[in-house]
Amino acid sequence: MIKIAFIGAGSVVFTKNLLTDVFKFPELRGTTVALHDIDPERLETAGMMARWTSGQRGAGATVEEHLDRRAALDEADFVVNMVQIGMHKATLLDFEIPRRYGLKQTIADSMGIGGIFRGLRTIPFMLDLGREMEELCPGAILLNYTNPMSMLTWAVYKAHPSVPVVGLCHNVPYTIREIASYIGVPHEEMAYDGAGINHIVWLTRLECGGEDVYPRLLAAMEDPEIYAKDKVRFELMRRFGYFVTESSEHNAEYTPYFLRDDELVKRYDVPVDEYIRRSEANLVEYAKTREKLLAGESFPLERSVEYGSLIVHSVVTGEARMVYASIENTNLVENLARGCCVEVAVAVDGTGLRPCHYGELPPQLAAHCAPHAAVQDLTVRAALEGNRDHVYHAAMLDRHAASVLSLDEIADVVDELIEAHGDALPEGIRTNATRATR
Amino acid sequence: MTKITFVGAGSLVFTRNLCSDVLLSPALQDCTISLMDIDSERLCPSRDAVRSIVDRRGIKAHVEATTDREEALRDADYVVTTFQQGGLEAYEMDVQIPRRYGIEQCVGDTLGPGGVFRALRTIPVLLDLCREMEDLAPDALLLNYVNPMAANCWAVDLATGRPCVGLCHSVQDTSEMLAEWADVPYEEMVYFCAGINHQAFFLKLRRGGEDLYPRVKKAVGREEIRGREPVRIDIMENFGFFVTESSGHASEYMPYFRKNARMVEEELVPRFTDERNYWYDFGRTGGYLRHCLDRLEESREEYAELQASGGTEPPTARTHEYGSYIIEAIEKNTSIRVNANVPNHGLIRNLPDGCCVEVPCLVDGNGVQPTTVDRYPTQLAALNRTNVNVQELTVEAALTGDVEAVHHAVMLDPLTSAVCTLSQARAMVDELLEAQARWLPQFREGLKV
Repeated sequence: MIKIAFIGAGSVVFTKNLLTDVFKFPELRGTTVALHDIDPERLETAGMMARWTSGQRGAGATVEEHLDRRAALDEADFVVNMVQIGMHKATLLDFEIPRRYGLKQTIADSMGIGGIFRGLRTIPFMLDLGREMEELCPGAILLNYTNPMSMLTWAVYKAHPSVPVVGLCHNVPYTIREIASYIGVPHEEMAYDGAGINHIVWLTRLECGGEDVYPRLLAAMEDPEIYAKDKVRFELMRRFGYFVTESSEHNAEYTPYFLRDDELVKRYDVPVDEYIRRSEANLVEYAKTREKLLAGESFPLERSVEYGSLIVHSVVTGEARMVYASIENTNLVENLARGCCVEVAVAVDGTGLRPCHYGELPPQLAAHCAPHAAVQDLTVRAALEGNRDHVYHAAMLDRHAASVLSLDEIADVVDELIEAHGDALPEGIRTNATRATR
Repeated sequence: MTKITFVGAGSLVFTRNLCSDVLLSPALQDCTISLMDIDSERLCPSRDAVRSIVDRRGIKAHVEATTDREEALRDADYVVTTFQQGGLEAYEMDVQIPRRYGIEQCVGDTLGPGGVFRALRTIPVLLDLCREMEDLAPDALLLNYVNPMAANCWAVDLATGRPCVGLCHSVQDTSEMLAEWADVPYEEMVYFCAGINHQAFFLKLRRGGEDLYPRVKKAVGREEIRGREPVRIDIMENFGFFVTESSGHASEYMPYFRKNARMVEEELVPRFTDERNYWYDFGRTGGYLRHCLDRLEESREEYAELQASGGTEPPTARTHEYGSYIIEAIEKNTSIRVNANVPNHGLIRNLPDGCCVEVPCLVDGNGVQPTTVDRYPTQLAALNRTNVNVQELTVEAALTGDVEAVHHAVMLDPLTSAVCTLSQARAMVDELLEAQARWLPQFREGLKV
């Protein structure tokens, strides 16, 4: 029988969604679900939710709750990671400190100053997890859902090459659904190619029934109602020629064009500080979910668009499928750096995950992704080597930060954030006070 | 409505099987099947056989047959090639002429002088076909079954860039055999296989968490199993992995097994002890050619039977050929994995860029999507490269009409170079070029004959 370890299972709603998907497959009935969280109350809530979901689905799962991560990992076949290191408090620091310097952010979890610091405080955990997986469940596949996706996945394959790891995100399937709704076609009928980095996957082929639908998407953009739903991404398509994944609010902070000043924010309806509101809502939702569970109430059980359960099912049954995932660039995207973390089509079957070769992105799209891959590289190196200088380098090279802040301001933001996050950061970064690059 | 065109539909058994597969797919039962062959005498039996399937199953598919290739290609969605340029007449030369120079080919359709010349005859036809498809079926997917797979597909990619997938059943056959040897149910075996056509390797062979190689290695200790596949077992024991094409074939892609007639008859043939391997005559030189000549008679008899009985019961199950599954997956946007031949663009990094590799491909509504092979074992890549060298020069010769490239291809063939001096190889190629000139339009200017 297979065992799936959920690390950070206290993200209860996400745990429920993944389990709903897993239990939908008859072949995955009787799975052992090993839940781990460092917060006893959240762990208990996750356990209740997992049992309830299994019961509803008649899945006959064995649900285990482990405060000890090693026990959860022991002999697991799959490890799903969804931790959030530092939780809401750390997120607030990532927003508030840059904001005092005039740097606005929307989500701050994947790139930019917020992404760098979320990466720095999460990578040490990822390295521990990789080490423990090598010891306790060699060969198990690590499905990473935690952001910043590219940096965390990269850190694992760089530091623990024997751990099969993929980064999973719903940005591709959601975007396909959004595009389908803009042009009024069923999303199941869309065919597409895409490549890039997580959250910036460029859809370089977009077809429905053999027809290129870019002309229809370009026409849809002229409808003010549709345009208003996705201003940033439509502008990027207008200027760069292709539609990008994830969302307008995310992409606003990946470029210098939309968030630099109030006039731009207004023109493009950029929801500044959006993730703070979502993070607060998550806390409320968690509390409500726990109350409902304790009161014996039910929850909706709809299939999600997440790839996790599909990967587990394909590996277990051998049924082949294609997913989009973040993975090491072994020349898959030829004009992005070797070794960087790219998001491409990845085939899954009984023998595991094998990425497809993409080739060359149109040059303007590769140029759009490359600076972010460079910042991710520097952040991963900063964390792995304990090199504080690389934190400044990463921050200076972030496109959005550089469009708003001076070099001195960037250095000050970095220093303040290092100070504020304190022990959560890798040791060398905290203690090594060199600012040679200032 | 989906239109599927078969070029070279006179291959009765193969055409009937592929069409039966297609017509057993619920998604394709109202398709149009267009059968084309230049030989109307061979085309009629195929047409009758396929129509009989449609009639017997009572489905709506439309079957047409024509000797006009343009008519067959017009508005096709899929073009399946199964032709054999020069037929058995040319094939006989591929085997018999080299034999006089001491080249003992068992099959001679993949590598060696036979494979080189089969490619040289075939590639001009494939390129003509692709040119016609440009106008008549610009978006159609080409499913090539014609050997030599690697050189043919490589030439199509290099010359036209057209979407083309090369299909063979060696992976299916071998995986089924290995499941039997390992004594596990086929459905429960998981494999990962990659390399080049007819020389791909099972890199992973598992059932659940169990590596099945130890079981295979144990099974080959049994005399009756060793007698089925003596060459492939040798290759596994020396190169570490099991290869996809049968022992008769495999023996001629390497220099070790058939350096002269005595070695074939006295050392190699006696190692084949399984009666089921009759079709290449236990590794004997020309074994497959004789099988083809016998088949010709059989298919005439089968056709007579078909006409007499008004059609035999059509098959009720699909064969393991990938063709119908690929078409179905694309049409219905369902997912399947196949091992197919595609251009090596970043797929196996220790094989040359652009050469034709056989790798797992995921097929769905997005088309045929090849997957990458990480850390392909060095010794396997090195072995493949001895074959890829020949393919590369063959493709160059076919596309440029450079006669010297033909000489280079054959001189670098592993079997030829184990047997012939350079001047012998040159004389042999000259003789083949002269004998086959009518099928080799690309060399007309360069040839002295």
